[in-house]
Formats: sequence, C-alpha cells, structure tokens
Amino acid sequence: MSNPEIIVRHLNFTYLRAPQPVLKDIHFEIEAGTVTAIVGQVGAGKSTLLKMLNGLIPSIIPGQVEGDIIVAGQEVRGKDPAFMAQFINLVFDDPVLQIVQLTAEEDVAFGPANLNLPREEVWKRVFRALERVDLKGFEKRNPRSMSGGEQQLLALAGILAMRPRIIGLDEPIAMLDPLGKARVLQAIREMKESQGATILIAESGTDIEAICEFADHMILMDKGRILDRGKPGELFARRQIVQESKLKVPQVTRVAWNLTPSSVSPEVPVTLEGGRRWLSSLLESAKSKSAIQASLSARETPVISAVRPKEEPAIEIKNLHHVFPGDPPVHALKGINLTFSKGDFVALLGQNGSGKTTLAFHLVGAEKPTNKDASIMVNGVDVRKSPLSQVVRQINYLFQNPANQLFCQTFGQEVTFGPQALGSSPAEAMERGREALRKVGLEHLWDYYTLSVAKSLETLLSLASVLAMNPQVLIADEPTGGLDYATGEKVMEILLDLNRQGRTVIVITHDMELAAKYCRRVVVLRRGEVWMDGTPKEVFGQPERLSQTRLSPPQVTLLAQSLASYGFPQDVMSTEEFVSLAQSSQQTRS
Amino acid sequence: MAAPFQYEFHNTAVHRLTPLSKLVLFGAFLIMAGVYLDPRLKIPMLVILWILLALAKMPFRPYRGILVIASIAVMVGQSYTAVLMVNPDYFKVYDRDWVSIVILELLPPDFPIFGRAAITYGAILYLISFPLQVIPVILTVAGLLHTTSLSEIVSVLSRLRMPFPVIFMTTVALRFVPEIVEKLRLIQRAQSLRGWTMETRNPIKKITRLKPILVPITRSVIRSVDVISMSSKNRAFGLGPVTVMASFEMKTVDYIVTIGISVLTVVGLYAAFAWDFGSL
Repeated sequence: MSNPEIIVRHLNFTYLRAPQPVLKDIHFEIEAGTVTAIVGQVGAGKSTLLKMLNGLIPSIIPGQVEGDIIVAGQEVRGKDPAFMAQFINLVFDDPVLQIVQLTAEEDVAFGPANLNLPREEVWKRVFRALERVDLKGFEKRNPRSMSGGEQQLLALAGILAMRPRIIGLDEPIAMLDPLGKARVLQAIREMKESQGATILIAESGTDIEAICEFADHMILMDKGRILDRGKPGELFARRQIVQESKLKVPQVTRVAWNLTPSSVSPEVPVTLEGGRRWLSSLLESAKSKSAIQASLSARETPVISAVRPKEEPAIEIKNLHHVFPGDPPVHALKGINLTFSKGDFVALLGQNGSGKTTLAFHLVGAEKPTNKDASIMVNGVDVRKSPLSQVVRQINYLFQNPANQLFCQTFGQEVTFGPQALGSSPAEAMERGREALRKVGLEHLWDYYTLSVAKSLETLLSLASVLAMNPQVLIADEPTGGLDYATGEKVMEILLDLNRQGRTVIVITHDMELAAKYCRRVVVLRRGEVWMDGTPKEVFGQPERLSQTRLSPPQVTLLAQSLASYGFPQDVMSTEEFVSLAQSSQQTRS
Repeated sequence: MAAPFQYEFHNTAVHRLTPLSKLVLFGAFLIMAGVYLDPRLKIPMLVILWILLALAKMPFRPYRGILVIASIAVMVGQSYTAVLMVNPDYFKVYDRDWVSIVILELLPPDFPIFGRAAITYGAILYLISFPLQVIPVILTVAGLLHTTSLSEIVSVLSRLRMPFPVIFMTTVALRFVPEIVEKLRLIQRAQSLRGWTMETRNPIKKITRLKPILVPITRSVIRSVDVISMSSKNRAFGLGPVTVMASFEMKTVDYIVTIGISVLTVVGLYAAFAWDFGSL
C-alpha cells in the first residue's frame, strides 16, 4: 500500500480478567482518504478495535495488548488518548453521552479549545462545522432539546471542528430514526468528499445497506478475527464466508445471490443503484415485462404472521389527545382513533417525535390523555380509569433499553419478580418464569447472573420477564435496536410465535424490512396523527405519501419501484417475492 | 420542559455579565442568605432575587417541588431546636416579651435532659427564617447555573488553576445530572409496568423496594461514566492548556455590578456582625 494511514500488525487484546482475547491476530493497513467499513456481529471486536486506534483502550478500559498499532505515523501504544485526539477522533453510537456541554456551539468548541487553538480560530471552526452538518441556527440550543439525529450530528460537528486526519464512527446511526440516519449519512458522505479524511465505520449489520452506499472497503470480523476483506461488492460475492458470519446482507445482494449460481461472480451489487443496473441488464428481454406481469396474479402475500386477526377488538382508542406542558406546549397526540384486533401483528412507524412512544405509553396506562372525552379500552379494561396493576395483566411493554428493567441477581429472580408483584405465589411465579425463559430459549440460564450480560441476552431476558406476566397484548419498542441481525431475527421469531398463539403484538420500529416481513398491519404516525394505516403492501406501495413522513420502504421495494418500466409492481415486500418475479421472467426468456 | 440547574442561553443583561461579575452578584446573595435570619430583610431580598432571575428568564416551574421539599425538610429538621428556644436571650432584635408569648406548652421546665419546650412566637419566627434561608440559596445557585455556561465555569476554574479531575467532575456533574434524573423517571416507569410499587406502610420494606430503581440507575451511571470519560479524552480533554472561551473583558456594567455589590456585601457583613443587623 502506497500511503497507509493506519497500520495494525498482529494485534491481540484481552480485557482485564477476561478469559480469552477479544481481538486475535488482527493485521491490516488502511490507505489515507478512504472509507473502510468494519462489519460483523455484535461481539465481533469492531468497537474494541476502533477504540484501540486512539488508545482509549487500554488507557480507560484496561487489558493486555500485543502487536503494533501505528496511526497517522504515531505508535499508539503508551500514548494518552488526549494526545492521539490530535490525529484521530471517534464518534460513538449513543449521542447523549458524547455531548459534554450545554449549548451546541460550546460543545463543538470543546475539542478545538482543548487543542488550545486561538479563540477566533475555535469559533471559526465551530460555525463551519455546524454549517457542514446542517445545524446552522442551532448554536445556542441546549442539546437536550434536540432530536437523536440532531444530537448525533452535533457530536459529528464536534469531531469535524477538530479537523482530524482520521475519523472513526462506531455504529453512528444505530440509535437514530430514519430521518436522523439520513442526515448523519449525508454528513458522512459530504465529509468523505470534502474533508479528505480517512474514515472508518463500525457496523453490526442493521444499517449495512446504507453503509454499502459509500464504503470503499470492508473488513469482515467474527469472534475477534478478520474473516475477509475487500471492496463491498467483492466481499459479498464470497457468500459462504458472509453467511457463516451471519452478517445482514443487503436485499439487493440477496436478490443477486438468488438469481445467479453460487461462487461464479467476482462481484455482486450491494447498492440500490448497483442492483438496478445489474438487474436491468439481466432483464433486458422483450418478453420480460409480460412475464412479470403474468406472474403478478400468482403472487402470494409475503406476510409470514401465522394467524389472521380476529374481528374482536383487543384495543380501542377513541379521540386520544395528549399535550405536554411547556413553552410552547407540545401537542403530541392529536385525536387518535385506532382499533387493533385480537391476534393482530402491527408495526407502528414514524419519525422520532411523531407520537409512537407516547401512544404506546397511553395503551399501558403509563401516560393519561389530556382530554376528558378520550377513551382507551384494552380487552375490555378501561385503561384510563383502571389501576396500573390491573392494566399490566392485559397489556405490557418491552422497553427499548432492557437495562432499564433488570435489577435482580439471577435470571430466575428476574423473571419471577413480575408475577410475584402481581400476586402470584412463589411456586406459580417460578412456573411462569421457567415457561417464559423457555419461550426465549434461555431456560438453561435460570441461575445465571444478570450483571454484565451481553445486550442480546439482556433483551431476551427482558422479554422473558414481560412474558412471565402473561399479557394478552405486548408492545415492543425497537425490540431489535442495538442487536445484530441474527439476534434481531430471533427476537422477531419469538414475537411471531407469541402472535401465532393468539396474542396481539405491536412493534414500534424504524426497521422497514422487519415491518414488511413480519407485520400484518402497518400504522404510520406523523406529527401526532395517523398518517397511513394498512397492510405493508398498501403502505409501502405508496412511496409518495410515505416520503412525506421521511420514511423509506425496504430496499427491495425501492428496487422494484426503480424497475417499474420492466413491469415490476410498486409493492414488492421481500427478496423472495422479488426473486420469484425475476425468475419467472428469466424462465420465459429461456 | 426545562431541566433545573441547567444553563440556558438568553441574551439578557445578567447573561451578558462576565463570569466574575456573576460570581460576585450571586455570591453576595448567597452570603446574605446565610448571614441574615430576619424575615423582614429576607423577604425583600427574596423579591429582589426573584426579579433578577425573572429578568434572566429563568423558569421557576422546575424548582417548585425542590423548594417545597427543601423548605419542609429544614422546618422539620429545625423544629426540635425551635421548641427549645424558650429563653428570650436567643433573640437580639425582636421584642423579648413578644418572642416569649407561648402558643402551646410542650414540656415542663423540669423535664429531664431537655428542660422546658414550648411553641412560642419566637419559635415560629425561627422556623420561618429557615425556608427563607434555603429558598434564596437554591434560587441563587440555580440563577448562577442558569446564566453561566459550562465553558465559562471551566474557564473560571482553569484560571483558578483547579486540577484537571476537579474541572472534569464539575462539568460532568452539571451536564449529566438532568440526564440521570430523566433516566430515573424512565426506570420508575419501566418497573411500574412490572407491577413494582413503593406503596407500603412498613418503612423497612419501603427502603428495600427501592432496589428495582437503584440497581438499574447505578448500572447505568457506571456504564455512562466510562463512555463520558472516553468521549472527553477522545476530544483531547486533558491534553494541556485550554483555550479560554469565556470573555473576561470587563465592561462598565461589570465594574458597576462588581464594585457596587462588593461594597454592599462588605457593609452588610459589617452591620451584621457589629450591630446584629439581620438577626432575630
């Protein structure tokens, strides 16, 4: 490599008191000015590797290091991270914890001020950085009043103002809504084009489609080792390795995998535009359009929810308003009228601030309507008038951050707490707890300690602790958030299984692919009102209306919509459906 | 809703003062609140402070609960002392006969260990003086934090040559206390949905029932501390000398406030110690 900005040689790292190394013989070089995505499941070692590049590990989180790291010509070992911050800076996944000041401009100024630059230069950089991330006008705002996306942009601006040679982004969009993701990705794209900095992005898979849009190279990690590396298109062409890593694969790539024999192509499409071009050339046939159109009538619904909802309502919401006091007051819900049937599997979509969580909190009685004529009935229980202890027997809530709910020493104690709090005898609570742990596949961890378990286990345990209370309706708030693809799928399969048993499931999510794959009904909220309500096909098949909420359909739906001239319908929901349509076309040609 | 004890940018006269002027201004209120006990002085002082904070556009709503709880706490805490203050010699300014008027006799003079205890006009006066002491203290601290940004505080601490860990802990506390309060609310809500409640008449059970709240918040704080440390180091905090972002350039108004308030404070202190000005 002619101009390596980062050199890592035979790096091994073991956290203090950990039984085995978390990084094993890591060896790579990264050229200056490129964008490299480090991909792999949660626990693969991506974040550890990034934090070692500027010395945060082992400086703040200690451990044993072997091997060499040279960043921007500096040997990192033994250097203070504050010194390395002159060359490399990181942006973390949680925007809240990396903002250390009380106004946007002061926070952006924090880094340059620590570099002891002249005050005029600091302010110049501050305003330039805020402008570049589209936060001009936010200078005096308290970060607490900003959305998650804006906070992450602010964190990014704080780094840009330091003008480092290398920027590492650790799951930069994992905790954001689609609008926040789009804004941050746009800022990264602009950074790539104008700053000339070397960019590294750690990504566990959920946002792989977005990352593939601008990554020059990819490093695939699994269990602390580098499995493979190369251009994204080349790396995903080696499908066996990718499948073994259980990494989420872009939908266009999955389409390509299914339409071509394995291991023959040196490169596969990984972006929407790449997929469109690749398929256009594949479908160039006079008979294609008619073949696809003919196969339309034979299409089956892609929704895999096993039960059809009953006519009987599980939840009835009438004229629900909620106004949060403040200056000015925030009208969070504006006359919501919704009915969810028993056995329904619903996705609640919308940007942050659209009212999803406020609505969900009303359903479980954690918030009360601010208008007197509102009514919320859950399985015949008037949520507004009933005590919380009665409501939670009917409906319960799985929080986005499971750590908020867990406090007991062992898994067994955790899952028996809820039933006992609701009056079950210890024996009955134990039975319900065991059953709940069995449902999530953790029955063998009854005596396992809850302290310091991985996020995936925390989520499953939290789900089990809610299931032990046997609610007929379950609301799951971003149940796959912060999880890797494989664990996310597992959580969704558990929810699907519950739905098959007749429970009503409502999932609040920003993952459109997940909503299209699992849910029978999609409700889109916009500024406190129901904006769209229908089957996934009905909702995602209206791209214009959907775009007004700044939501985007799954990648495969967008792919089909971009191939409308070939007769592809607007409402293709899954890769399987897309592939069957494309294969019909190919068969007709042959 | 605005969080208590947090800086909010407003282009007010108080915000525009230099950090030193603000320190002198609010410091004077703190000193007077601590030294004076007489409600006849405290109430006008509180009114002046209130007007000053209103001019600085400080929202009072987030402080209502804090002020009520703090006032009740100090009154309950001082009630024991108040009922034992039956000797009029404790009072230097107020009429000795008036403060000795008994509303309710509680213990006879020969009561073992405690002696006589009674609710007198003096006891009531003494009790009232404490909320009037604690309210200005809370509002003064709130006012200082509402009008002084973190970078101004860091600049002042740096000028005072405070060690790096002190500056770091100060900034982190000021920035993240509201986040922890918010997190507490969220955890409380999450546990309520699992059937958790604080309602019990048994005080020991009440304490043990805090566990579902305290354990997650402690875990969360511990996790956050690492991330905050990394975020700060990642942005070169502690590298060496820091650019002083706050302006220490004194304007006319700063001189007037600083000199005027300093003189008033010195005179007030002298009057308090020499002539019992502001005593009960």
